[in-house]
Amino acid sequence: MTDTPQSILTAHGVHKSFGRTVALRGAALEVQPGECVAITGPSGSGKSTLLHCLAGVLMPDSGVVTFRGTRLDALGVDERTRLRRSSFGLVLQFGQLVPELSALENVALPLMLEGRRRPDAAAAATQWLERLEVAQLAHTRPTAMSGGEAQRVAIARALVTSPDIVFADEPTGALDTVTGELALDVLVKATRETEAALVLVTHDNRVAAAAEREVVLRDGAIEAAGDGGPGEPT
Amino acid sequence: MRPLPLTIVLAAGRGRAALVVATTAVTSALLLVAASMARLGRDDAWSSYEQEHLFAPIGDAGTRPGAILAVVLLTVPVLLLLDQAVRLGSTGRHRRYTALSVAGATRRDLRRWAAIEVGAPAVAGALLGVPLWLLLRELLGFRLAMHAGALVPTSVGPGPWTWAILAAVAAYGVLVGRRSGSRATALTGRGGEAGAPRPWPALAVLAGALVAISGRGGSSSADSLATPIAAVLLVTLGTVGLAPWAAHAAGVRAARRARRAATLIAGRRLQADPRPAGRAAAAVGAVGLTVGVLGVFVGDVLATTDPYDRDDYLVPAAIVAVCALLAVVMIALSIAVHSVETTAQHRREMAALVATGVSSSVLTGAQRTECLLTSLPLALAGSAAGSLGYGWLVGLSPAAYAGGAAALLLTASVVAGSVLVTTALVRPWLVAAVDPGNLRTA
Repeated sequence: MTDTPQSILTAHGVHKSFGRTVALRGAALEVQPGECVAITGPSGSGKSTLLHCLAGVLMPDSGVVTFRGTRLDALGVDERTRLRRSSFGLVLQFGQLVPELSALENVALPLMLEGRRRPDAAAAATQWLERLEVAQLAHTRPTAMSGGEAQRVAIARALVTSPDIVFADEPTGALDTVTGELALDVLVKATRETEAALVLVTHDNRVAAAAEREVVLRDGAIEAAGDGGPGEPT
Repeated sequence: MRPLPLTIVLAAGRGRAALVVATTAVTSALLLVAASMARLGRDDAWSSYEQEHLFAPIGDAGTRPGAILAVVLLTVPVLLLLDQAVRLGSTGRHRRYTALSVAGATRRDLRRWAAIEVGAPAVAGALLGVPLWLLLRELLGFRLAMHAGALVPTSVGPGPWTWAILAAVAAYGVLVGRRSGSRATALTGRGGEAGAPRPWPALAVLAGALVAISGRGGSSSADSLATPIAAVLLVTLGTVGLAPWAAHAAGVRAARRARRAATLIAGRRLQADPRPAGRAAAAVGAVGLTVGVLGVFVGDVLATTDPYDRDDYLVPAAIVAVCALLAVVMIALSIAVHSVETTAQHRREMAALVATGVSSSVLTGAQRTECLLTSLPLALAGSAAGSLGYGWLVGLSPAAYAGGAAALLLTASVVAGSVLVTTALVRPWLVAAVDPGNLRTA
């Protein structure tokens, strides 16, 4: 299985089960560089599972996910971990920042793991916090932040390594409407500025409308895909 | 259908129940040993000493209170491990209690069930303490007396104290269970975090040192033992109270200077919650103190005692050292358990961290660093204080301090080794806690 020339991420025939529960039944998707794709569908349709398979967090039972032509299942656990750290960014609904670390340390952490010196990592993290207008929270711990503030810090952490692709799992799901819209604006704008692709999972039509392409998932399979995707209607 | 108490105990996990049984059994056995020492009595002390061939500090009525205190202090690390064992599975327990609460259980019901969860195995453990004491009496009493000084009296047992000790240990288990129940039933988040620990307990250490200095050079009668015992108690209580402050300070310092992500995480975790780990580490300090005293004691015996008489001192000293070092392993395990539980409480955040590309080995490294930061400084300080303090108080020869230096090295090696071994033992739980699969079950 090969990618189309433009795609950086491809998934074909992805199956995933948890015990007797089948989460994905042959889902397929392609993502081009810099594009914003929304994966939508009802609760329990397998959206988050697909996102986790695409991001190499979960391994499919069968099917193939490739990133820039490299099959994720051909990589060892450590190699996948390094790939996620260097090329992927991940934003979740909530509970993603290390509670004991300050905002600055949370954002600097991936860079320190990449081997950057702490002052350099802190400087880069500060730039991102300023860019997302939460620099005043640099020394605040997540427990003292509002949901919207924590989400901005999480977006900064996802983007600080200049990833090729950012995965967002219900990034506005735990926020009120106004805060959610603001966080979504920040996420979409920041990924566009860095030319990173954005794959976001949502069941909110307003969030999906911010994407260039919408892929609908139902019962673990792609039901409908917008232009540019190889969706497999079931 | 199972009886409700049994269902409750089994729901708490067999591993947790087994640890509670083991720790309460060891505690009650040690207290039974202490009670039998206390019942030797003054009048027949010398005959008992000769008849049983007791280790001199136990047989001599003048030094016996110190020996009894040492045995009682040995229960401290065991009780600390019990305290940590009770925390095992706190996340699952919180969920279970939440479900029970939603189903209509009152806070009082939940606290009662929590008390049963720990109290039932604690009762079993307390009762098991009796056969364990009999085993200790056989091994460290009858059999040891044939080769060196016996550490456990054989002519008298704990007598009526047995019931009081068993009841106290079981009651302690119930209390610890109720306390864990109160923590688990605090379903709503707390308004704020507790402030950083303050170093006020250092005053108790200082007072202990002053008492020791004032009592230096006094007569060696039994009554004069009150001064050193008071000094030891003050220093021990002060050390236990000071330990969370020391853990907090070590965490802040490590986090400020951290160059590695693992050190940063470890330091900040200690800074955020220094009390449980600090309390466990306090016992390491107390054990370090014991090993330090033993070091100079052995050094002095080797330097000044006739080779034919050495075994009478060295064999019991070696046994006490082995007990102390086993205590270090238990404490290291309890610190590691605490660290895993903390990770499990934040498993979603940790799983998210792994999902974003942080290797689980970084988190195990953080756990190792956290345990070392907590235990090593206190162990070394305790060992040095024990060697220098005892040597100075008793006025030992300079040659004795070679034993103190050896004790310092031994303490450091055993603490570091214990941390490495215990963190490796609990690694599967840590890896399970940070599995990105946990992101699905928020």
